[in-house]
Amino acid sequence: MRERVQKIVYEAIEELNEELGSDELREAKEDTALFEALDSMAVLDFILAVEEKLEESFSKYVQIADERSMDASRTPFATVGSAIEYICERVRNG
Amino acid sequence: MAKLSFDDISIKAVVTTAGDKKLKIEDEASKFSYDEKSLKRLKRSMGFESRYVLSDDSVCTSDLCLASAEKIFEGLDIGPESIDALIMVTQTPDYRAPSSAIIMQHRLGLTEDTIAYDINLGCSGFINGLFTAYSMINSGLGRVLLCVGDVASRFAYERDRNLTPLMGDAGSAVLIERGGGSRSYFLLRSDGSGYRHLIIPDGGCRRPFSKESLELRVSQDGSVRRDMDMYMNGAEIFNFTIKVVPTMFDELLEFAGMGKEDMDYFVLHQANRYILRNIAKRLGVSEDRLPMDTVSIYGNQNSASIPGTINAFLSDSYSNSSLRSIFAGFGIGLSWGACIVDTESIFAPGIFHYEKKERE
Repeated sequence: MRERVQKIVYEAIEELNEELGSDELREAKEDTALFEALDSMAVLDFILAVEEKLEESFSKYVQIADERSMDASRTPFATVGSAIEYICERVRNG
Repeated sequence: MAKLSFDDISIKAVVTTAGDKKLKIEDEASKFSYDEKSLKRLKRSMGFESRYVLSDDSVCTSDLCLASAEKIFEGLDIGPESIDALIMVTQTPDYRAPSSAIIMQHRLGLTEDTIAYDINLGCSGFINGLFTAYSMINSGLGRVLLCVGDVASRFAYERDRNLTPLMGDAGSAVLIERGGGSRSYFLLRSDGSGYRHLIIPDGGCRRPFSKESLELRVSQDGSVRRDMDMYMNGAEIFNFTIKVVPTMFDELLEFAGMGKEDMDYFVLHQANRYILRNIAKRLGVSEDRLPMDTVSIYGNQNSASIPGTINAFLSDSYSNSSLRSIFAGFGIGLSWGACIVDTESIFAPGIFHYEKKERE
């Protein structure tokens, strides 16, 4: 399951970066600071893209947005790796 | 505990008048310094396409509501003397004082026996206003006219790229009467700890208007505004919405002893497409039962967005059917609320656009 989520997260970042054009995100790895590289609208876009891909892949709606999403001190999207772990947890519990 | 129910009170008419001038997001892009990519993202995520505002700066929310109210009088063939109370929910009154509702009492030709006052609320305003109207009728009145709306395009600074592209102008009138048989359920909540997240800082008694109120402030994301304009902390409002709205539905449905399947429509405050889509997914409700296009076409109509959605997209259904609906509003305050109401073929024509000649 982690591999599927990982693929989804990297695909979403790649699509988002077609518009953002960030060098950091182009070379994204699990320790890449994701949240810092996105403005609030891009965070929303990332969430939207991941939720759509999860629904396609797992045939169910998994909400990954919560009240921590936009909070820099608590966001689960701090790094690419933390985002993957968090999304895996949501898929498991969703 | 703000969970209450009412018997034998119902909505008889809903009419909305929106601004007359259509602004397309593409035409406004340069004002907000959106490049092509940002614009594409905004359209996809938030659903921005266009908005309707008033072309004439001298026209106020009360004028929009007045036009809507007159359509109700005409459509239902009722006289102004039959109205016992007029509640006006707005953040853009004609004057800081007195209440716009009292001026409207005179302009609409309502009798001096009419109770009239304003309520200062935004996106949760329709639910709170409806609750006030139901409470008044429950206390003995026969017929209440609820007016809701804002000329929201005027309280956001024209170069505020976070807020201004959202703002649409609209004023609705809603007629509520004794009779109708079924039970209605309300849930209302407030959390003033978040008051700073959506606020017009200057111009009240806490921070009176001064020359500093006019100073332009540029935020990190390039948005420009003054302290006399509305400010929104988008991230905090997003967090608030995600946290409270879905649980509000669960609580209200439990209180009413009903399920989602019992509802014909979920008509929500039209904040933005992402929020609405998120809520729809979480509730497992399809878009045909939870309309979400108002913000894309008309903009965020604040307290008029729920009646505005009924008039713009559900006019046939509400005009010709018996329906059970959940209405829900959430936003500035912070304040949120929802209600379950039954309607029976009400007067709900398609949305109108303001025509100056109506008032001349």
